[in-house]
Amino acid sequence: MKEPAQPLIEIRDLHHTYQGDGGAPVDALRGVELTVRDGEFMAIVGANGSGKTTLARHFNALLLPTRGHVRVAGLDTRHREAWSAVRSQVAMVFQRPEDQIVATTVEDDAAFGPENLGLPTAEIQRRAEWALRTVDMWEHRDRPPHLLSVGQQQRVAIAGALAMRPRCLVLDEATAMLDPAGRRQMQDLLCKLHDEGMTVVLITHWMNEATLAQRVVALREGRVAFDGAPEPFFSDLQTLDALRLEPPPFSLLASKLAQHHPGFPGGVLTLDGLMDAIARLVPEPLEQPQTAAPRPVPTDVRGPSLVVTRDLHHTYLADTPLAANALNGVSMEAHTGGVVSLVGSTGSGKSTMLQHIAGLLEPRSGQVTVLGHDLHRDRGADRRSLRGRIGILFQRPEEQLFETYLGDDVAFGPRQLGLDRETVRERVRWAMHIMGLPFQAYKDRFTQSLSGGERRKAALAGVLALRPEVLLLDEPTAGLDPQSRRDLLGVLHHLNGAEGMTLILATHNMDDVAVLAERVYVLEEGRVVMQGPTREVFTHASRLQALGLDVPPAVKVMTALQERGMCTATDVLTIDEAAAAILRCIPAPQSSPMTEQTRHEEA
Amino acid sequence: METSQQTTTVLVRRIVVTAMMVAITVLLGLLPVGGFIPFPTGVNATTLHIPAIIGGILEGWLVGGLVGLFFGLFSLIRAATPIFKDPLVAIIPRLFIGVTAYFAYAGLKRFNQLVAVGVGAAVGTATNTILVLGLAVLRGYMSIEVASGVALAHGIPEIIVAVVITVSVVAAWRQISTRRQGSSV
Amino acid sequence: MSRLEFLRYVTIGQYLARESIIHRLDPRFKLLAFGLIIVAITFSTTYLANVILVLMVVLLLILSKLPLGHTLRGLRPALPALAFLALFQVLFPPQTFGSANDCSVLLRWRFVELTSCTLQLILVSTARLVELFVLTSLLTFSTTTTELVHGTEGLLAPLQRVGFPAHELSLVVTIALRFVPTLALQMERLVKAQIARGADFGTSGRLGFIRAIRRLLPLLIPLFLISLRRSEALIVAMDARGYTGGRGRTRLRRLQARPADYLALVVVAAFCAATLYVDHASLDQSLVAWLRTLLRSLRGY
Repeated sequence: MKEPAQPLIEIRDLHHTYQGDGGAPVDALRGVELTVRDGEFMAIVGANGSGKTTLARHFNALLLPTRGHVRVAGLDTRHREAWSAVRSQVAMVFQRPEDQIVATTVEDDAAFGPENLGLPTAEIQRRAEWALRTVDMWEHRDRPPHLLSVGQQQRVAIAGALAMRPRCLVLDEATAMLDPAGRRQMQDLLCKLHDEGMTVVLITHWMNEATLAQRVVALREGRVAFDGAPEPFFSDLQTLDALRLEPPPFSLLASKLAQHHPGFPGGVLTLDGLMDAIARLVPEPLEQPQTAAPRPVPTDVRGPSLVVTRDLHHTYLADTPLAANALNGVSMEAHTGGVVSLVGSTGSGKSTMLQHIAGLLEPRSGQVTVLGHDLHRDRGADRRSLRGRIGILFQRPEEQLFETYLGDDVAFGPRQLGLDRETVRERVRWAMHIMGLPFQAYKDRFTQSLSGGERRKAALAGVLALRPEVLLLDEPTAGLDPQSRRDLLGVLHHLNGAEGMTLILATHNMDDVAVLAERVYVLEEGRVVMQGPTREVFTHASRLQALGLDVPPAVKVMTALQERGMCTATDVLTIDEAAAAILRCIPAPQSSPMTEQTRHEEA
Repeated sequence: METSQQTTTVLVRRIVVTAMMVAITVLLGLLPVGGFIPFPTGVNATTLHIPAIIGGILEGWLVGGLVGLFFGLFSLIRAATPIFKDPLVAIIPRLFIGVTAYFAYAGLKRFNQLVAVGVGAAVGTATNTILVLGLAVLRGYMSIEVASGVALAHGIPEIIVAVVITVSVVAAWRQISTRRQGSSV
Repeated sequence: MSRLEFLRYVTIGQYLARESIIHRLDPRFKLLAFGLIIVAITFSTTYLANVILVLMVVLLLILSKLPLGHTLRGLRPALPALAFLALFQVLFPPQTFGSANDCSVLLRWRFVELTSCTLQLILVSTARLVELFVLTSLLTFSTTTTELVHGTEGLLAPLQRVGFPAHELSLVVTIALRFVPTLALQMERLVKAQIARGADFGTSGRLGFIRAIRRLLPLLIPLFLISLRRSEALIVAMDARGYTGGRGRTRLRRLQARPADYLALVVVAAFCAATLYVDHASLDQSLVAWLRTLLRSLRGY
């Protein structure tokens, strides 16, 4: 246990105001009081606009207080001479890994920080090696950043921070762009670093990440709304709701169970904790495993095939030293009005599949048939007209915006289709309305002045304005905060349900898959290794995890229960379904008004 | 005692923006798309000088001049004609592209931002055309008649291209209004 | 555009690993030697000087054990341009390389005449192109980009003491090189996304001026905008990592010069000096003549 020396970061009455767009001043921080102690693992959470990122940037003097003061290791950040020392003690990793790597190779980049400190060459070499070994990237030290996966890039960024030998590592939404495997690796790394004495400050939108910390600080409108241990915080659903935060899934499940079983602990943050709590509800081992009520088999109502691929093969950069087989014989099918998801970790080929379906790539062999047209053999297929019927949204689609005004950008697609002015206007109005960007209010806004979430919505509106019959989406929710993600999923659900659009979703976000997809194809190294209805595929949780994927928390819980012989229903998708299934499995408590009711029903 | 809110240094900003503009220049020069715009007259108006102009207008004459320097070096390395294999012709004119663009812009921006950007782009492009051809003549690669012919045939389209692209980029980036009522939809 | 894979195009001067004297040279010395030869090429206008230069360059190529055919094949796209230029020079002879009096007319056809001076101009220009091209290929094939950047920085480092920002400039080069492939991948994504929205980046020019430009706007504008955004993020990241300029900075790798490097440089310098001397005999003559014609043409316009 470290003696309580001078706190690492001391913040008193911190105010920060800056010029917003249009000149109006924005009070991002309004009197924050915070102390970060050596060796802590702190999570800072808060809704959009709560000031988390602004606060984080004060920790290493990237921003200065408008009022109040910030002291790092005793040094006041307002003194320019202190910045070098401050920044070598508090290192920061940002959201987009690509935009933090400076050098042409991994090792050179890790060395960048120590070079700035003017250390002797031998020391720089030692630190770079140590940092890269810590993040498990030493074997890749001569590789250029553009050939690394996003997860690898982010590890390089962390190595760059570690090489400064800081006392504190601040991560500003650093896992936003990672896939499940990457996120797991990152979390393990942070716990390891913390165990070795590093102070870790994690700024995140994701409550299940925040549960790793020992201390949670929640911000609301520029002030500290909570500062304490995670268990009480995450079990207090009302407070979470008031702060516009989503409860972590296990906590949510626990609270639902607690409604029927008073006394069920609320502050459960881990899977094991949940298992133990549920086990306590089942005092003796059951004679035979309880089965849940039989679930009616969903009648597979499918329309005609809209998209079919047969034995698709694709090689990137063929005939060069960098050639790689992206697809090794993929066959899949999507029916009219359906939602199909292609899942796989990075490099599995799912993005490549989408591009083939959109007609943007030529396969080495195999067949792609969309809307009745064989895309590469059908010379009669008017590619241009098909383009309007197949919409594709790439990763980070906000990058494709190019017009000064939003309305013009959304109108680009319809205009290219040659539609007349009135039709274009109607389509734009419809698309923007669906995306939650009211036409009159947003059409004349500057595209670059909008937030990331709004720009993404604008990009999707631009694709929707084509009125496609098939919509292909590549990681649509990557990097979005929970609220924006919910909005987007709601829109997609509406498009499929009310507008009858067929959706094909390439993603590694299994929560999205659980919400939207009816059918899942699991890809690995360019091959389909699993396929079927979503519920069914998720019952193979361990296989999915072995493939570097995750399963929704509800499925994790049910799988764990099944392993302990407590319940055999695993085909759930949401926390609500999981709660219902668990309640059916475990005996009702002796006296409770609720259970009287259920006993009546069962009788 | 610093009271400025953001502490990022001017030096880092200049280095990064210069580097990024140079990267775009190189990219446009290597890819089959974007590096030139084919015109109906058969002339190809190149776009490689535009990053230097944008760098100059957004970050000042130093950045503009540096991007131009690297543009010249790149064009020296990649050149397929003797004219551009001559370091004097390849490099010296390019140093001035971003510089003149900046000064033209800075001089006019108090009157009208957009017009200032447009004029800056035109001036920068003209500087490139005139100095390159001028040096080519001086070094003996072509006669003045030929040079003037090329200047008009290539130079005018290149000015138009540079103005359109530069104004679009700067207007979007700095959120300068290009149409009084906003979008045209 | 069926082959939308931009990384192909972006291998700037591919490095070809070989075990040769040239490959092993300290990059600073290679760059110095390169610079000297370029100077020699730039100022050599006579036949003899260029013959020596061509021989020297070929010799270096052999020493580097690089594939001769592969290197020279890169010249092929330049040939039509060369022919075109030569034609122009014949039709509209520029007034340099010796005054009009010293040139003897070799051929005459209608109003077009080919003088010995023009012939010299054409041949020397061609020779220069070949020399420079082979030399540049030699340099980029035998040196990795990291070596090139460190070499340049090493050369400029002494100037740091008088305030010349050597490190800052080499950092510019490093960052630019680092982002070129990343931006290529970005472009690829952009092209695909915009094509999917109906954009047409085709290069058939049957449109009016403005329409031809407008076609490329959905590609070029976002390219700049994204790059500017990335720049903002990178600036913050670099500040957070404590970059404050080249002063007081140390390096991960340190270049060590060997005696072989010095020797190589001396040999090259000697060659270049000899070339310039050989050229010198005619150098002052042509210089004077050049000034005279310059004044004449200025007065004429």
